[in-house]
Amino acid sequence: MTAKSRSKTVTRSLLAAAPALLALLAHGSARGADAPAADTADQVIVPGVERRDVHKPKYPSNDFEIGLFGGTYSAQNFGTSGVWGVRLGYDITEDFFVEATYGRTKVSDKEFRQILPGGIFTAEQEKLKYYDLSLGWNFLPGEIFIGKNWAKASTMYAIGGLGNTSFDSQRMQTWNFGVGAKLFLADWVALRADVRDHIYTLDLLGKRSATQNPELTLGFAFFF
Amino acid sequence: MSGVRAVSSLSTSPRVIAGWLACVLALACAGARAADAPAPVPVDAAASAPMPAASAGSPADSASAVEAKPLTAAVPVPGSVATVDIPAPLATVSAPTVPTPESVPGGDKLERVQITDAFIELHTFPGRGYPVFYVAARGEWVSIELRHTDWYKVRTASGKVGWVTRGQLQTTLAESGLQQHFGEVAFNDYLARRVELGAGYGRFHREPMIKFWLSYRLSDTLSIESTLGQVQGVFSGTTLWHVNLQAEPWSDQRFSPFAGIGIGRFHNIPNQSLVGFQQTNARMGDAIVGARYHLTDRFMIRADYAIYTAFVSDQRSLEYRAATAGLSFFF
Repeated sequence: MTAKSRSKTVTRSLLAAAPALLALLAHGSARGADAPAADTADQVIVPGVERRDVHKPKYPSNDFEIGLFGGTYSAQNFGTSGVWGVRLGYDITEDFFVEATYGRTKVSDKEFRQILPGGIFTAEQEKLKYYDLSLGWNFLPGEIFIGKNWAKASTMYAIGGLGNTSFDSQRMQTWNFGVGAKLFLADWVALRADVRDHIYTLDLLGKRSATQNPELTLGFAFFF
Repeated sequence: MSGVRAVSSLSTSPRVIAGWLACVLALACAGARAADAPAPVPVDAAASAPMPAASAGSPADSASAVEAKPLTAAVPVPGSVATVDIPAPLATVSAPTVPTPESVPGGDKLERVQITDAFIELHTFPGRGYPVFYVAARGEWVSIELRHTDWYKVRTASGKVGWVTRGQLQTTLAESGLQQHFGEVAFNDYLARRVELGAGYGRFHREPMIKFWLSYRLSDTLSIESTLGQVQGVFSGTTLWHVNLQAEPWSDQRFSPFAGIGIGRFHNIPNQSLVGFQQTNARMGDAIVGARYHLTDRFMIRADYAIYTAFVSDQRSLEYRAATAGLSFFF
């Protein structure tokens, strides 16, 4: 047995032994945590208080949000196109919310084909898909006054997160940052406007560089 | 395979994984027993809210009590407000206007509560930035129609509908001897959590990795977790997903370590600018250890270290190590 294969065997044995050691530790902690059971058989005082019927109330809530949006997405070097997508959000507190977004748009290498006949993509137009998970912070909550007798609740928000963008069979890790506004038409529906920058690194043009891809959208949000 | 380099090749990975499986199960069993002993009673904020009046056994009882005599300081008020003397003239003036719980609209399905605090403020929308447009006084009955985060939409007997913070309802309605501090309630909610969603950032074999996870607690100490990860290398990108079984032996603690194992898939796509690129799409096993810490409200921070083994062929497996840290929240 060579020294190399012996060391490999030792590593394997250690890896196999680690779970057993952990299990032993866990057993010990479980035994330590066992509390002595209270002896209720010889109870001296029997309480004569009538038991109240306490039930845990269940309030309906609408912390979740689902939404549709549409607008424009401007891909650096690859043109501006219409974008649409869906959002699923959750209001964690009155200040913070998270949301997952999925969006689709098109990118085109038309500009390059004028001087580079083969183009950069296999087809002139490629589908761009992105998804992300972002954390938002509501600031400037207040009311927007429309005319004299109509006031609607609204809030601005700053948002940022992580996700993925894919087109031309490439997948890019993507950061996004932006601001937006919500105008609540009722408890269950709001109008949203959103400005977002998607930042990802790309080397399709021969040089690896971060690209800025701003997106401007309008949409509806429904709370449930 | 360009852009990805194996750390080592382990032909005995199934054996190791079987060992980890045994470990996770043992931890889970041990944790379940440990968690039973201290018996942390999860008390929801709402759990203390159902009993309407401090002095009355039921809404009907309290209504008759209010009608029989005006509200005076003799009416015991729970906890912190017990020492507050109510001026008699004020009490006698407000007493005739106190409606019975039955007069509050909402039907049988809605919870009705009586305000025992001096007053509650009704906002136009759930948030501290929205204006207060109505104030409901002590003794009034309100029905609770909806909850949004920590705000409750209430309807008063006079038909005013507005949003009140949980804090205001809780101080007025805390009852049944449970003086729950607001922070403790959040912690108990944390202990009783079911679903966790989070995102993290870190290193996967020296390359930046992002990942999202969604976990569901099957019991106090055992949970199932699905993870989606993306590694952005200079020469290639890797997408991976896996489903883990996770044990959390000290699940009743604010700081709680966990361990898990799972299976999934590993998909490496080299950059198209590379010549002769070849994709790798393989099954994968993973083992993870980490810890989470309950920060505040619904937020947790979490850090973990994982070993991923991609079974690229019958003869060959690639192993990667990853460390990530992130933020998650629970439902």
